Amino acid sequence: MTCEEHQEQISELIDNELEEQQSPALFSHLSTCEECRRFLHTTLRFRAGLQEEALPLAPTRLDQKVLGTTPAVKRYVLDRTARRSILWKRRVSLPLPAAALIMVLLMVIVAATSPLWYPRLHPQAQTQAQTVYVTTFPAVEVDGYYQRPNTRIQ
Amino acid sequence: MQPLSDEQLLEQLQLGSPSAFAQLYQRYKHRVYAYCYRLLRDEQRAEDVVQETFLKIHENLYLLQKPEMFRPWLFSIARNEAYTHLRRRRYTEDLESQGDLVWEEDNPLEAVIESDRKNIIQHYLGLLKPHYRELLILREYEQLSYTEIAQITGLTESAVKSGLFKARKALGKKLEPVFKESK
Repeated sequence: MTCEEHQEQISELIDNELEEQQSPALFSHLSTCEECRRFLHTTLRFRAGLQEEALPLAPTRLDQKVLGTTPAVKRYVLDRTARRSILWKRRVSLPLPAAALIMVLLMVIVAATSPLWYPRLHPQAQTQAQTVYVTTFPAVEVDGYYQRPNTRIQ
Repeated sequence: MQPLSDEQLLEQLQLGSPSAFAQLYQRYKHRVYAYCYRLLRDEQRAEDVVQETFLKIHENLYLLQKPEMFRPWLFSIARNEAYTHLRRRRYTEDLESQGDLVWEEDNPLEAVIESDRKNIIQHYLGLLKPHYRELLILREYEQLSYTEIAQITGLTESAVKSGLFKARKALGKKLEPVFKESK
């Protein structure tokens, strides 16, 4: 393992992120390598220097900006039904041309698949009236078609 | 009387308690401000980011599915807002195209000669690129684990580990002579 790799382990070590089984080999290397000890020393001094710094405090005027401008807190219920309801009520903003295009496409799809329009668009599928002569039963006219009971007209 | 935990405050907030939001804000405002200030190096921008962050928390609380994830979620929102400001300042952060470059300026040592030596560590920290500075801030000041830092930044744990090492290595090279002189 190179010093670079050992120093990566040092970086993990000081963050308590080094795997335990790697520690003995690292400490063994540190006992013999001045360069790696210098890296450890410098990194720890850097950390100490950072921690000496006073915490930058948020100015008091921020309180008014945040608490004074937030609207009344909405009531959120964390069950799935309520969450779905909240999502359903959210407005989806869509540019007008995109919304118009979607509407037109929907209309075309509905028109193409609607049974009212289907015969006009697919003339070959139009049913043709057939005259069925029934010798046994009286012919019954239903909407222009002659129909025997339990008989399907094609 | 013991102060309420974050989970308890979030529960109250979800039931519509305005004081719960105020308590959460008071609890985290200094830490979020410190994080933003250290990242942006600008008081006014840090204030703006803190304000935007808490407003977004207020509006999007329903998106938080696990109350125990509040702190990483809070910092990830602050981070996104801060980076929006950084992008406006034309700081670009493209680690792949810039290879191993850690510094914002070409000659950070020459730049620091004129600075106050008491603040030399802070000065060098400020000279790091935001990506590396942020990792150090979250680790050294916020004491977050690699996993938590990865959640906030969207990086893998391996990338967090590598980024921290690179930042410490670069800082070590610059600070070692300074630490030697001050012995």
